[in-house]
Amino acid sequence: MKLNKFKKLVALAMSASLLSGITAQFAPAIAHAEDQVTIKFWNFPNFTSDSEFKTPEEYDKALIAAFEAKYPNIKVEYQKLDFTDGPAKVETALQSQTNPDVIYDAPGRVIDWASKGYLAPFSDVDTATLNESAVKASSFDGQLYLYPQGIAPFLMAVNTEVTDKLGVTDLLPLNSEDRNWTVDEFQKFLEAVQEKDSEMIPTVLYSKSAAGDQGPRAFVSNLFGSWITNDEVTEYTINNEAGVKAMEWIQEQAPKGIIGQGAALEAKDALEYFKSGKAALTILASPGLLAQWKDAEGLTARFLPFPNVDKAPKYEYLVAGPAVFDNGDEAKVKAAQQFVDFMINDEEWGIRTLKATGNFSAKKDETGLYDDEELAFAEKLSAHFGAYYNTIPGYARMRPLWFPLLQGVLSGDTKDVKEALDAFVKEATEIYEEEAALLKQ
Amino acid sequence: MLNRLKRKYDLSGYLFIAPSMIFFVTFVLYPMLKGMHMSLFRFRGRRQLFVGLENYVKLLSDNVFLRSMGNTMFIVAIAVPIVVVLSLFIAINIYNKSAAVRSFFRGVFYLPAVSSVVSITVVWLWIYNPDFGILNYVLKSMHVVNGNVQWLGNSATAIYAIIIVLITTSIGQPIILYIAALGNVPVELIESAKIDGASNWVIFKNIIWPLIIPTTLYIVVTTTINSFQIFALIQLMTAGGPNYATSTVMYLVYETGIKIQDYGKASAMGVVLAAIIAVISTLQFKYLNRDID
Repeated sequence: MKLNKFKKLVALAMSASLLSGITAQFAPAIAHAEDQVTIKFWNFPNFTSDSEFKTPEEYDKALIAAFEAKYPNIKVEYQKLDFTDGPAKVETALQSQTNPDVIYDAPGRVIDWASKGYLAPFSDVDTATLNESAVKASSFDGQLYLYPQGIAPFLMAVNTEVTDKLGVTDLLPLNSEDRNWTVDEFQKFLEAVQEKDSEMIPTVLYSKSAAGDQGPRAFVSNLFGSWITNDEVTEYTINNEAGVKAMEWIQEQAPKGIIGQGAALEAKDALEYFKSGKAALTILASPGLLAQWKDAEGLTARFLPFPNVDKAPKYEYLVAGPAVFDNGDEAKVKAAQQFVDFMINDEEWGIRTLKATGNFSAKKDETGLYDDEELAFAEKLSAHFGAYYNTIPGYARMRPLWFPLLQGVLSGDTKDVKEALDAFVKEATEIYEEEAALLKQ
Repeated sequence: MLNRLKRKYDLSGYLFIAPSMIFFVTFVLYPMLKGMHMSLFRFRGRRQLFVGLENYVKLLSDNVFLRSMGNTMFIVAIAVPIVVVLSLFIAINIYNKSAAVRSFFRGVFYLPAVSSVVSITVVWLWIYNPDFGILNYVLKSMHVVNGNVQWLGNSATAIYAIIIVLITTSIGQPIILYIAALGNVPVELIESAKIDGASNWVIFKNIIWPLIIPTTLYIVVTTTINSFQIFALIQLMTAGGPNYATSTVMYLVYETGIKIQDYGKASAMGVVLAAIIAVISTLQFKYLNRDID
């Protein structure tokens, strides 16, 4: 009798779980019938510069509320991400098919997802109205997968309060229009800082991890005019003569302490040194970071280009914007793209969202949004953007090869720079070829 | 009647072990089997290509993996004996003190074991900081070193710097276990030996040590497994650098699997590591258990 009851209970539980499974399967169809769509939006702390909101999450929620008010048939579920474990969280979600419908990110990851077939393209966007470099970086196989909203160059910055105190500001190229300087001028400045105050760290060439690793790459490749890849982004070129010369320069300067002791330091350490006035110059700066430094006491940051032997540096650059995942539901894709359109093109929230990132507009006709001398300088640099190699097949696998290479040079482990660069390029090329071949399958 | 009773007791036995079995199957057995299965594939987004043993074959010629395995073995070989000897030494010295002193030292040594790894790491990163760290400051004041030593940025010192942190965080639990084990050693035996004129060393060797071998076995096995799986310290302190000098297998599994999304290769690394841990733990059980017998 008792066993019968037990059997009945099991049968009931199984029926309930079966029914709930069936209901769950039919749920999207029911929602679709009522024209109600729910989409998921995941965002990193991108919107940091809107003074009305204390945190980026508050901004995200206000943006969603404004969108939902305009489009009551679409509900947006929000989840914040952070830069430390956010990327891993998205990857895990992709594997378990619990990923979002919309994410605000950069082409490095987005194009990788596009190449794996996770994303829906933006077919209706008029790319002619957008910055060419940004469109190129945001496209895969001729289709736009990231809707570029903001662009910004990565460059260097100096703390002029420190250099004024040390009396070395006149060694900086701040008075010339393009502010360019040679490697010799740069070295002379670093040595002057060290001479005036031996406790001051002139700058920190960090290499601990992949965090902010584009900074050291841009620094190295600009010194004597090499670049990580060729312009077509089909070949690694950093082991050429100029690249070797740059690494040899670093190998020579590292023991002097003028480029800091960065083998065990990462981007956030270098930025902390700069922000707290312990380092005069940072090799990692951007308009977004400048906004964060505005209120720091004892810090007046001014942008500087990377030193280059011919005074003709090229810039790595940030492209930021939303991407839409194709989760197999056309209604969701459509709603997600509507949300993206609101985020970028709404009369009020379009500009506001862009300005909340601190970036410049990727729209060609939207310039001069900020009333600031440093930002005006940075905005002009879009004409000097280098090849955007973050979308090269196998980029994610190449990154972990870069910082051990630089660590070896900085720590003195690497004796033969050419050999080390050749080994890096050989391995990076093998990864590229393997990944490119997989794309064709 | 007897059969019904037997069934009843059988069922309750299963119910008792059910929670543990559910956890074991869900969080140990299934992930282990899934990991072994995944190690035979290459992942490209949601696509999976069966590659057989290719991931394992690649590991044999992967210099970074081999170096990481070497680093892992080195850490285990250095850290485990130090943890065992040092914790026993501290426990013996604390055991004879008053209850208040014993509690104080137990708390002091156990504190790192219950603190978050992140907090501990932040403290040690400041201690080791080449420019402002207290270690360089003290050593410079004592004229032991001249310039600012990069403890974590130099491949000759980084792994030792990590081992020191690992030992300080691993030593708390063994001390507590040894103090408990020492409490079970019959006082009469020690006193009789003393009356017979036995030295402290003879008492330790012939009375205390044989009685605390089971505890030592547990400490050796768990410390070995923990040292093999060292990950958070590496990730937070050196990210495997400089130039792979502190890269361990667990860190490489994370980097290969989570950061690069090469789940197949990462799984193969995990399987190899699990196999090595299993072999070493079995050997430890075999030889230390022999001493217990």
